[in-house]
Amino acid sequence: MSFGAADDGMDDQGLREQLEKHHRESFGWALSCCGRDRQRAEDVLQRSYLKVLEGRARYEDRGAFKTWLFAVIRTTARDERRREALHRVGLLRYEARIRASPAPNGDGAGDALDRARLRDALVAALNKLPARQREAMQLVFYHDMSVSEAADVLGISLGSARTHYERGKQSLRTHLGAEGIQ
Amino acid sequence: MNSNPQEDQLRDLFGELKRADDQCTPSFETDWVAAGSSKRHALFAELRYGRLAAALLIIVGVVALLSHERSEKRSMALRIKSQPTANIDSNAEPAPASLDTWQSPTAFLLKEPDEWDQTARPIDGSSGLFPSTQPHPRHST
Repeated sequence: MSFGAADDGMDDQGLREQLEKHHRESFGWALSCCGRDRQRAEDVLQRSYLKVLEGRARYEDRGAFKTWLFAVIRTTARDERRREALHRVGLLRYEARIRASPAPNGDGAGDALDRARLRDALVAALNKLPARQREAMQLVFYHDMSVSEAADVLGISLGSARTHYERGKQSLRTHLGAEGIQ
Repeated sequence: MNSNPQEDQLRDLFGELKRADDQCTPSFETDWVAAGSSKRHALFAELRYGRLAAALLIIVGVVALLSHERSEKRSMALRIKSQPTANIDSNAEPAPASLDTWQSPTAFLLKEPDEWDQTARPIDGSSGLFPSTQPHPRHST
């Protein structure tokens, strides 16, 4: 499978099918890249599709399509972040809101916390991680990628990805433990 | 990758997050159409900028042409003004000599006496040469 010029009708169709197949996963990854901001995630996803449509991002049959698409989304989100420095204010407010929520009782995750609180606790813990560790966690646990695939998406070596993965796991457990999730 | 209870717990947590995200994922059609319309907008924007650039170029060209013509006219007028008027007024004094050829009326005094006859004329207007051929009376006696 190879997608050449975006103006080609045949390629557009194949491209569309592949993008549609990975759409849900792509949105989840975009959410992660955008600090869980849904509006921005959708913008980033649309911009990524636009890049693919215009041929500014081209899949060249090296590795899995999903890995390539995730790398495109990540780059687009990073560019968007640079452009929208003001959005950081919103993210800080979101983090403050998460921190301000009452702490769980600590009687075990399943009993004391409802699902929404579990998600909030996970998001809060993820936001405390360095970007690379957070991305590694998201790719492996959310998108069921191998560490090697995560390394491809992040554009880093396998050894480096493993380090981020292990440290991320450790930090996540620590932060979740602090939230009462053992 | 070997799984352990702690990893399974993380996987469950992420699974919960994923389920919640799935519920609010926008439809692919929406995003695809939005991306397509963005592409069209970008194209229109490019066209718009192209037209704007062309219009600007035309304006700059016209302005340059007009200013060139105006300066041509001005220099032509200056040239006409500076033309000599000898044909119109024949009694007008001749134009002054340039500095290179100008000589002081007493310049002959700086020359050797035998050169005087070539450069100077007697003040009284006589045609005789003065004074190289006239020995001084004091010297003659």
